Amino acid sequence: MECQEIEVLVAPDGNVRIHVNGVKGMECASLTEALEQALGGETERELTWEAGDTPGHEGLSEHTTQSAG
Amino acid sequence: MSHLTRIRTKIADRDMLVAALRKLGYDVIEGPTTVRDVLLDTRPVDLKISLPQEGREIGFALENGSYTIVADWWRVSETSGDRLKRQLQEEIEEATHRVRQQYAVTATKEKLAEQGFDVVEESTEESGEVRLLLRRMA
Repeated sequence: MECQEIEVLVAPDGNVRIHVNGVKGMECASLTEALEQALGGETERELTWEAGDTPGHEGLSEHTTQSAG
Repeated sequence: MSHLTRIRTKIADRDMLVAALRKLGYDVIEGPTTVRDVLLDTRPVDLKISLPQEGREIGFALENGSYTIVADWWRVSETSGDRLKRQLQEEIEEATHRVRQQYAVTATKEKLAEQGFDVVEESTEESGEVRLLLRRMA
């Protein structure tokens, strides 16, 4: 069992930031897909790394890091 | 691993748009219908709401998969004094932002509930930003 957490910040103009924690690899990216579609699908994604993940990959795009998680 | 996603919100789902408008207290008139401008010309929209002031209407029209807001800015500028024009533009803009924000909140709760997430915290910051924290055990 792991606790998965999503923080969603909705700005006064309706734009959204979604922060996902505790979700591994591919699932991390797919988890919020339905929501992103409902919000029009115009997204920009950054991966961040926590303790225990491979270090030194900050800022790499999703496409180049999909197998790493 | 975690990720941060930024989304420039577009209103893509009609049912959730209607739910958001009702949550904001608007009477929603579901169409196809039309909105009329100050010169009583009409434009086709899929649904609409009325703003309290002078019965002005904001319509929503589906274009390329998302709803765009139809309000008659140029008619306002043509027929109104600067002060009224500014006031009406501000009113429309404010309503537009409120609708987009409520739509995003509604969509977040609904879509993530479908995936087993519960809202554990909900707050509105001083800036007007809404913060939702959702959790599930997996």
